[in-house]
Amino acid sequence: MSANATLRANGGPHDARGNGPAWPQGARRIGLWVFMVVVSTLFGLFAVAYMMRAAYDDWRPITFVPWQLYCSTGLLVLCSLAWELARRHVAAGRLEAARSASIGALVLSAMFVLSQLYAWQAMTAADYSVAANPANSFFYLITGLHAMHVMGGMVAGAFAVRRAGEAIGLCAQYWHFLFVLWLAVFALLFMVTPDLVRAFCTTIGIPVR
Amino acid sequence: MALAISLILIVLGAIIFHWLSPWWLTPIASNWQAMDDALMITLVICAVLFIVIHLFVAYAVVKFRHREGHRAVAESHNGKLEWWLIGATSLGIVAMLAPGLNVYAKLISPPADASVFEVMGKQWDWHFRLPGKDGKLGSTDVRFINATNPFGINPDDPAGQDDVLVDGSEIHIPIKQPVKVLLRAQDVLHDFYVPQFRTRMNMVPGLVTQFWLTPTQTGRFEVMCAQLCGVGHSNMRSAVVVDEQSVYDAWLAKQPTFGGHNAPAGVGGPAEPGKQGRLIAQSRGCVACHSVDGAASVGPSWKGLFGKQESLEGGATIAVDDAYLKQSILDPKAKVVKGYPNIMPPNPMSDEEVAALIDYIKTVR
Amino acid sequence: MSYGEEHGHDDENHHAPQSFWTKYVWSQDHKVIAIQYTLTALFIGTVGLILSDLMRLQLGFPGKFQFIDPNSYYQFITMHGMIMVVYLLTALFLGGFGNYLIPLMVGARDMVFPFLNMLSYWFYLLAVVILCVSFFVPGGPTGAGWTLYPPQAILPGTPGTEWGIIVMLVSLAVFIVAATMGGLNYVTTVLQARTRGMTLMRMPLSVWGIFVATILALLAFPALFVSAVMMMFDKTLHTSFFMPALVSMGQQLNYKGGSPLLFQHLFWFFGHPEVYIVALPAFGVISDLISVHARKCIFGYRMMVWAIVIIGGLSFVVWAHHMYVSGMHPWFGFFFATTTLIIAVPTALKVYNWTLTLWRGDIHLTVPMLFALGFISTFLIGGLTGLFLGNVSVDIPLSNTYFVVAHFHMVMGVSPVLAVFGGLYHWYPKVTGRMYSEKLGQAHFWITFIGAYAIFFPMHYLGILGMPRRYYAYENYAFIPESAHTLNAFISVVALFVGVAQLLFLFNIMWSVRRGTAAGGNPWRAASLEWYTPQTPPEHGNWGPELPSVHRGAYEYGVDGPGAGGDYIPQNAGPEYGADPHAPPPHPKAHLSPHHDPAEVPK
Repeated sequence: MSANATLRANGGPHDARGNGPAWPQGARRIGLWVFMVVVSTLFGLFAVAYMMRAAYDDWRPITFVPWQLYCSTGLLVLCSLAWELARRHVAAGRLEAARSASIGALVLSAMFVLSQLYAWQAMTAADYSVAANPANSFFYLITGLHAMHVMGGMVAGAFAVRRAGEAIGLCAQYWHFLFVLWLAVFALLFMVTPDLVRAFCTTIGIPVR
Repeated sequence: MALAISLILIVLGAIIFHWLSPWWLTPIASNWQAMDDALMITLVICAVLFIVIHLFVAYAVVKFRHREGHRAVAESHNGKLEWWLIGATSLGIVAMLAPGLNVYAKLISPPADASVFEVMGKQWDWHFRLPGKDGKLGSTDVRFINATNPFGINPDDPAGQDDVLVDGSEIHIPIKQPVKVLLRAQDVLHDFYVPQFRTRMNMVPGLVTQFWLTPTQTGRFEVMCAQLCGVGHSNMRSAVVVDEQSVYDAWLAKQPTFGGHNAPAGVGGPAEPGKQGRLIAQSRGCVACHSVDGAASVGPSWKGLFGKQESLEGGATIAVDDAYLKQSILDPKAKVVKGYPNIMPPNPMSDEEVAALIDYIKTVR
Repeated sequence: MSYGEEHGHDDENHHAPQSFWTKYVWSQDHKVIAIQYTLTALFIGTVGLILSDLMRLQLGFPGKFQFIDPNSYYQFITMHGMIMVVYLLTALFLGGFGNYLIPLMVGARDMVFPFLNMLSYWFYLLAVVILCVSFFVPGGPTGAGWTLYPPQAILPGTPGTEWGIIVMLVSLAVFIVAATMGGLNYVTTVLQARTRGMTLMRMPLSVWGIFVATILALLAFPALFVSAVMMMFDKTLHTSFFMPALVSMGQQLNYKGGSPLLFQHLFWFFGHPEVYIVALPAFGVISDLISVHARKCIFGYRMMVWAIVIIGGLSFVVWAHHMYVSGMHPWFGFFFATTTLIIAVPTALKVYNWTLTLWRGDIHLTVPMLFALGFISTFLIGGLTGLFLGNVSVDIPLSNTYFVVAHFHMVMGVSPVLAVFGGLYHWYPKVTGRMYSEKLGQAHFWITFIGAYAIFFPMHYLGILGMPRRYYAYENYAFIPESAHTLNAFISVVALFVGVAQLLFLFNIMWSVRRGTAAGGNPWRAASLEWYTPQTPPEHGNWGPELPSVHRGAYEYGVDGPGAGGDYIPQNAGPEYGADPHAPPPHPKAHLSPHHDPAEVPK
């Protein structure tokens, strides 16, 4: 590497005390955290909209949970494990093993997306179409957006596989986040009842019509 | 220098403008004088700040302009001064907020004995109803809404039978009696705004909203829709007429009721030629683009339309007869009148509705 | 998430972009991206300006222009509003000013994610193109008002409900993706890439304004995204997120149970922070302009930073002041009126501090300074009228009248635009190495400033009279006197004149690139770091072989120092010239006592 490239890799030129710009390593991590906050805000707002709508009298919660969704959950767990494995391989210097684990994680993610599509099919077949009632609409909307974020992550993951470096650790972090997000989505769609929402609103002082 | 002068001129101009302006609050016709008072308090406090800061800047710009040998002082802050300013500003804020919230508390608390009338807004006109002798408004549902039953009153609800459906688009209310205005909308958001009453509220489909007032002046007050509701937004015309009690009683006695006619959802009020068609024209929004008084608008006026010779795009002329009118309603793109844009949407209608509409157009001379 | 490592940013000699395409088109250099953003924003802003003049033609001379019928009038209104707020002001302040200034002002070579930065511009351009496509789809662009309220936005009776609204929502979604990509860059660069000695409390206020605005953007745009997606579903899939049971044009529609108010809550949860996304960078830029051109330290830097942060935080709890007459539960009115009037306090403090910076300063009435002073004046009146509208019971008769139009134009349309002009003139010599034409700049200022007052001051009174906004025509209303129609005609004439006068600005910036006098590296004798690049305009990598180090804040004016003219200390002058006035100390400068080390740890 040229002298300048070395300097840059070390975070830029700095004096003996070592103060100076902390990028690029710290930067990518911070960037990912910021992005996670943005995505959390997005889903948080959907959750608020969902809860506002659930408090109306005509709400019909979804009671049918297609088994494909349990598969989805399992697949996400496996994804997280695969990325975590890949991260440890990178830390130990086993780059080829890291690449294999990452590719495995990407394949599992693709399977997750397919399981989502399968679940949608099952829902529609069981007469839960998208426009039939608001709970259905929210179901397709929120799970669809989650799947899109998984797919976006897969694009970044493909680059990470190529480089087999710090980026794999970042992918692991992102996939853990997607898993936690998935659990929150699952809980919102199937466990938040109108009574719960009304009780919560009245406790914190929001008037419920 | 020029800047300082212009800032001073802005201050002077603003003061003079305010003094001389013919555009100010309409004379208030309701009990909400306190809202005007809150406005004036806010205006005075803000005007003082506006004037003081402008004059301060004008002065500074002249006194501390760059000149040979002059240098800025090195001060960077003055904590005490800043906290004083924060304190004074907070006091000003409280001075404005307190009266404002005080009035608001009254605004949202209608008296228990207030009378009621209900407004239904739709693109692009208004309908009014009153609870009638039983003092209760009949229940409604969207599925009952049609051209002659704009409120969607349930024909099986006895409380709705004596509901007064105000004929025409003006509502009368008696002076000096508190009235609660209930607001609904059929299709999109509207807003029932009478500037002289000061208080008002949006009309939301799916909700009933409200406001209340006590009218204090007789007169005829124009209503405006004040929430964008499509291309006819500036043409939703109506009025509130405030009467002395005896005049009001006489007006009320002449109004039709919902149940006072043959069919459950019949047409209320005295017969007039083409009435059914007129109601259809209003409910379908035709009047947004076709005037009945000859005024130029998006589409050709209906005044004197039937029987006339019309020039079409492409050079042909045609006599306006039943067949032509029917085609223009059901398939407007087939023949477009010269000089008008080809933007009329097709309006699927039953044969009876088309016939009623054509009958109405024939009456518009 | 590992972009940009192998793309050319190792140092300024190796791997700098070589071909025309990588230097000026597919560039990852923050300065080129900034200029791309700025030019695109100015272009679409000009379209927005033309639309406003078309609106004024109808308002001033109703019915005289056959091609402006109610359909097109509402389309003009909607596109004008959306373009100006989102595609001009947000993109220009964050993508234009943010991209150019942040790395230079914090001493970085570039943004931390240069590839992502480049992508953000191309997504922005795509969003603009999609927006322009909406002019050409069947039915034309949406005419639902920039607030796009349902149900009318997707029902017949409103222009553009076939295609225009869908294209608009898609364009907004693409813009939000672009803004997120850019936002990640601005936030992370400020947090991670500041050069040695550049603590957060030594950054210029321009950076603080853009930084906090970016955080607002990252948290607020998701709300717009949510509402746009849900409206798209309602339109295309006939879901009922926002659509209650209703009868439209005599037809019963298939919707049921949705809430138009839900859209308003979501929209304004985005919409109110959005106005601060525009205002906070303007505040920051103005602080820097006043400080440099009055050659005086900005008054109360610490309070100014806190004010920016507090305003940013509070901006998330005031949104329903846009909804006082919406029909929401009335008790909300108390809460939001209170929070709205509280936010006035830090804002007022900023106004006081700008004027106090002028006090006992050394004021040069350059073109940037003129615009900064114009900002103070117009922001003052715009902000004060906000107090009327924030106070719930005073707002009720004024809501949706011309009072609101006058308020938001003064506070968002005029004053931030004056800040934009001031900033563009101020940094023009930095970006181009040349000076703009002084005469054209002055003419541009006077026409714009006085014209803005002539247009918008009287409008407040039309609003108090009760004239509603978004009206195509005002014929035959008894309470509206004839003089109001004459006033509308007057306003339209002035607006046309001011609109055309903006050509002075466009001509000035284009002509001076080639023909302006050479400006030198620091024509304003400013202290902040961006003026100290070895080359002007700065070349790729900004700083030459070695990053600068910083020993004080950006506002050391009025003190003896090594800066040209002897009355200031540049931010990167050596430690022997003393540290910032905010650091604890005390002895007058001139020493290097080891326990008083100016090169503090950056975080």
